[in-house]
Amino acid sequence: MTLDNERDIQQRIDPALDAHLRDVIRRPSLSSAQHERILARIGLSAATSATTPASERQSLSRQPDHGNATVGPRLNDETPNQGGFSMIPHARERIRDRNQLFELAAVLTVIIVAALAFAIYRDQQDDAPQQIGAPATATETAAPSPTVSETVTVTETEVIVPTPDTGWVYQNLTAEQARDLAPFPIQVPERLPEGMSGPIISVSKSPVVGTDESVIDVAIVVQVGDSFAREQIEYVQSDAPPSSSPGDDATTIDLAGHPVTKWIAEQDDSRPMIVYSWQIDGVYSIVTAVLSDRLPESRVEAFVSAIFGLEGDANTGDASGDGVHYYEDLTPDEAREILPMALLFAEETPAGFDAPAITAEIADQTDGTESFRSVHAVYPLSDDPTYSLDYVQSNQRPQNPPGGDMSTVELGGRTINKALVSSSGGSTIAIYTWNDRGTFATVMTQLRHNLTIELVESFVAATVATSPERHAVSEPVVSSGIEVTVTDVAYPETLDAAPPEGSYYIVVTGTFVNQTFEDEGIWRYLVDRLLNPMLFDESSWNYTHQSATITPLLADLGLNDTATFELVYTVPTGATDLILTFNPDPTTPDDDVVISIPAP
Amino acid sequence: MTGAVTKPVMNSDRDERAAASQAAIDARLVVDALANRAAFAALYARYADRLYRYALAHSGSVTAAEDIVSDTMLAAIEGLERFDPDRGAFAGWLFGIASRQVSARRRRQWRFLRVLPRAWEPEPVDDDPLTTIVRGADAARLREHLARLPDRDREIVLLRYGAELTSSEIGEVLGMKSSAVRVRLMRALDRLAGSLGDVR
Repeated sequence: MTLDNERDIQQRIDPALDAHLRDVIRRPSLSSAQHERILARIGLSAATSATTPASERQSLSRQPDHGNATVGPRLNDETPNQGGFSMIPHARERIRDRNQLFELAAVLTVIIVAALAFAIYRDQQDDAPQQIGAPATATETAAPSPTVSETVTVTETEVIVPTPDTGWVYQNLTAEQARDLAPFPIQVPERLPEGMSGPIISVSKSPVVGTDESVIDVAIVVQVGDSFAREQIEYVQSDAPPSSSPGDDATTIDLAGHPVTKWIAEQDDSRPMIVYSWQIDGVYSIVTAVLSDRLPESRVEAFVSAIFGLEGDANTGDASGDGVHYYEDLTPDEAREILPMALLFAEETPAGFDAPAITAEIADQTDGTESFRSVHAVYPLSDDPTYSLDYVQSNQRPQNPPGGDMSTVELGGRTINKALVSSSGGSTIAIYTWNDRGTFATVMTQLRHNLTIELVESFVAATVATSPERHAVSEPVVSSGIEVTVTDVAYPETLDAAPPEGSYYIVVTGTFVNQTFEDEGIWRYLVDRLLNPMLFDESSWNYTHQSATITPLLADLGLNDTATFELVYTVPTGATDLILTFNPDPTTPDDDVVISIPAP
Repeated sequence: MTGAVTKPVMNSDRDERAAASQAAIDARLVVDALANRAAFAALYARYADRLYRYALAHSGSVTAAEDIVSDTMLAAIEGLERFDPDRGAFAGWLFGIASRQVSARRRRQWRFLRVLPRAWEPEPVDDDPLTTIVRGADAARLREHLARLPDRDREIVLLRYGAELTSSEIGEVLGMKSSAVRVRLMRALDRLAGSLGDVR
């Protein structure tokens, strides 16, 4: 089919379908009330919107009926403004200057990475008779190392126009773009192991001097660790065979059913670099990473396994190609193994229900943020399996139920959020939510047949009772005339993401009681210090302060006699007791308040 | 995007010149909004309804669509400095944000959507009762058939008909070539036509 432009499309579309889609999809518009609400939410008043000059609003919505000369300069014209929109060139320059900095930084990073890679490979070539296959690899028969043209130049679009002599590099590609460019099938790990971000994908073509041939390399870089301490793994796929052979220490291991050759090479700084190589259908692959405490061999191996994980394991496949992986027919233990998050399942199926059907989903995020993980268990009703209860556990907070009767209820020794929602069909849907060690749990079902509210609540109670979560309540501490009680140590309702692997969140809530706070200055000081994590002695507990809130907020300060605070910490597994030490009253510096919280 | 101001709307009756003008107007408004946050109101006025239609077609929920519009607009205001007119039109950038908002929201609430589909039926619009009923049924049926499309195809259809983007702009949102967008759009529409049958 010829679809070169919009007109071709318009001519091809069935007019009736086109009209139907326009009629149904395009008809709704925001009401005045909705506009007001949205504008208020985004900090623009309706008045502001309404005061947009009518003449301007008209000109914005109407197709200008004038020639090119009056349309104004195109965004990339370097010619002076011709009277249309005089601010556009300035905007462009301002924005471009900023972006050029980022581009320059990105390109420098790529160049440095490439240079390091070349240096590493060159070192290895010195040590071994041949070189590990790498970007810009020469031919196998090259006795004197053939030179390869430098490949990196920069344009605004990040895509280098190919020329026969200089080769080219495409950077920051999507997997789809890389597949389009590479003349051989490539693998892009769409589901990265936990704690890895990326991938950053580039494709390069390096001509072999003296021949008409070129080497195509697809380089994929993933990063491991946080923004302050980041390691990386490089994965290169090429249509040229590696000219190297592994060292004497090379072993062949089996990863996800694939034979992979593995060996260790040493860098100049004596740090070990691990190398994995394999070949599938004429495509040569090498994964390299410099090992460190943050990036041990097991992590690199997990990445290699993730690459192979794409190749058709029926229960991990990304069938839709959109980065979403589904798992079916899981047991609770299998679900725990697949998803690194706290999952709660009653040890025995709760009374009134049959064993659940459990599925899981992992949806990769293209923006490098944490993947979405979810486990869905459907518990059929024992006396009639056509009715069931849904139990979802996820690392992200679900949306609030759409209205209904919201309350809390004590079940299984903890406070559970409860909502009863009336469906438009007249039935009632019961929804229970809680947070367990960073996992957001939702139980919901329509109340019908024998699915009574009592049965559903007994299910929730049986499930949450299995949680290892603990509540600790300290003894009241009185100092400087202020009584502080740590009322709870729990897992937070306020965070939207699961804690990092090997740690968990806690929330410490406290209450200042029996205070008149007659002295506003002291109260302000107190609030200020509470919001400052330096206030606390953190030496006794290797935790990370996440957030602090206090109610009422400083901005809403009234001289209340009760105020509460909430502090959230990330706590590594195995932490010792937490000692909070602070002095709420600047007038009595020696009168500290000390609160001891047992380690979970 | 070098030297090209993409067509901001899909209508074939809008010519290239008008499209370039729309993108240029957006770029000017962005500059104004960078200098004065209140000036973003003009961009809001241009895109709020298109965003709403796109979000409503995705979610089927008036409330959710409203939230998506406000979340997208807020993200756009706060991230406006990152918009680079040399890399594409404002419309593509804005709907890229919206697409991510929709996606994130869908992942968060998909279980609710499955269990409580009736809670997300669109509110009736101002029409005579018969038309309202027909439209409501049409919308429900269309959403049902759209749901059967592969995710990316559905997104292309909604970006075209809800957001009124050109294939170039859709390509900017989804990281695809415009030619690939056109081919996938035609395939998606062919599938829709087949499954919808005589509904039109």
